[in-house]
Amino acid sequence: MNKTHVEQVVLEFLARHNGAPGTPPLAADDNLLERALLTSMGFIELIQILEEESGRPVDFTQVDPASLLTLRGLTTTFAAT
Amino acid sequence: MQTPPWLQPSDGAAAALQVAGQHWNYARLFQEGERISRALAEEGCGLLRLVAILGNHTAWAYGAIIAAHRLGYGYVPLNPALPGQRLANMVCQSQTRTIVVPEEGLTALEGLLLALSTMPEGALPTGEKPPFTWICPDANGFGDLPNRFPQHRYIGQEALDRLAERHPSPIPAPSSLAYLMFTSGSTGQPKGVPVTFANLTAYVEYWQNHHAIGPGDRVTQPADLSFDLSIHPIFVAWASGALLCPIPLHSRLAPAKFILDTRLTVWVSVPSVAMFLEKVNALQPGVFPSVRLSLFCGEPLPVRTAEAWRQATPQGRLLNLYGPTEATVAISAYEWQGSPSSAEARSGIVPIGWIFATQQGALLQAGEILNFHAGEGELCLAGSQVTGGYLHNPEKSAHHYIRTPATGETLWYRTGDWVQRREDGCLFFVRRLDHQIKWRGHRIELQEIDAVLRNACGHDFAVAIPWPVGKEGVEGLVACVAAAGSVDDAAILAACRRALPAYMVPTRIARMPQLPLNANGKIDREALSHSLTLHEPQGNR
Repeated sequence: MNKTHVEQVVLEFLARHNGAPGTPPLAADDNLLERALLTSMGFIELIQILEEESGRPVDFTQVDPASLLTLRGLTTTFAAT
Repeated sequence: MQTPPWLQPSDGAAAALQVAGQHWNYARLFQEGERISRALAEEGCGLLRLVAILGNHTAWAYGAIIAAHRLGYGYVPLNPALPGQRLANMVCQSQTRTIVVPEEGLTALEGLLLALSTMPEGALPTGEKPPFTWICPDANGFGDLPNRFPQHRYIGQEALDRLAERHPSPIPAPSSLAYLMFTSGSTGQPKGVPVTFANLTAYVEYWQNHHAIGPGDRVTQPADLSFDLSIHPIFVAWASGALLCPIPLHSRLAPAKFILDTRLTVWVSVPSVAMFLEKVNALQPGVFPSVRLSLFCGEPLPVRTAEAWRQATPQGRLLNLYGPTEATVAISAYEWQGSPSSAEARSGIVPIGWIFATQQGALLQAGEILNFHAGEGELCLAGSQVTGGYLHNPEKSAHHYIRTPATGETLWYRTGDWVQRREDGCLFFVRRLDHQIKWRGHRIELQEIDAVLRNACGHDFAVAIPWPVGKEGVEGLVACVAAAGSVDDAAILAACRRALPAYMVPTRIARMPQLPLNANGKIDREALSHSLTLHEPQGNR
């Protein structure tokens, strides 16, 4: 899964999660919770989808979820380098 | 009444608070409490003797609690994330004129000042608009706010330092308020629950006598100060000389790393947090070896989650707690013990257990008769933890707080929870009797959302329903709105965001040609839920 693919999955999820056809412009470091684009339940769902698609499970005993609340954080974690 | 146990630290050098990179021992906590208390004047705290605190994730918000209590005043927690209108309503209801605003709350201050300045005179119980004193203990600048709102008094860090030291008041009166907690209200406004020092002391003493913790314990604080689950860790930890560890806001989603990094020994949270950890596979056997006591409260605890948590904390005991804000956090407990407990559970949910030995529970049945034996009924509560009524709401109080001929002067709080009681007194939650729901531990009156929706839509055919509802509870909130009307979905949701806390804002709007009515002519929420289940694709949640 490359960076573009991760971004695409995230944006599609956000659109679906918010019941709207598109997502408002999103900067790489915008916090998805603070911008009310994601609920806590939605966060868990999004992580599960990205884990499945990327084949990269997140070990939350090592990772603070606060680092996964931005597009940049998600691409860093799930995109193949 | 003696000095409350949380105001008598035995070791000033012991760690008291670890939050947002700040580490305070008890000496520092009480020094900062004293410093903030210098600016708290009797007349500024109003008839109810309350200090508002606009802040959450900073040590100074906690210092402000000590500041209030050491003078015998109570506090009103104001969450900076709430809309300004809602905060202004709470400030006015509390009648306080003094608000502590740590630096982190300054961003919300402008919205609150604007909302206060536009509140109609009649919105205030006193019928007047007083000037307020704003105290910022950890910064000097209020920006241009003093110029824009010059009617108020502003006290920054340096001004606070110049004020004279304040000695603590002798002992708070038992009937004085320790805190005022707002919950969702069915009339469209938040509902204030005043909790006295006597209520809070009774609660803390129960825990000291039955599940004692002590110096060396590290206790989770899982919630915003405006959520009453925060009361337990704050006051039980400080009464015991333990260390309080608030979880950073965004780490709360899946705080496994936080638990390990902080080496927590006492865990307190709503079950949702454990369910989230379970979903992301973080709840592995033995993963949290330091946790010796776990408390879950605020919503039904699924058997599967209880067992997964027990295995993740093999050294620990696990208690499922139950209680409304009106009975001071929690009033019954059930200890989960693996297989024997699984056999006792009903519908996959852990029992809510036995009423604390220091309090009373009874089942209200037909004919206003209280039953003290096995059976089914609306759970009613009485005792030293039970509060005396809602703030400025005699009608609501008269409905929920009752006396019966058979029990004389005893004041009973009707919980609205229908429960079953076994022969041995163990309680099982069955259902709510009204439209109140629990959503990730938050208590929500659906009618409060309805009121905002109807105002935004300009007609009465709009209601909020919990949907979908899975085996483990509510998974989302949907606004069902009749298709007629000129207001679009985005405008309706924006109105909700302006008036309601984030957790009460519907995830989306479902438009329907018309809303079904029940036999009484009221909108039928159950039929709406069935309709959504039949017609909505699974992914559109």
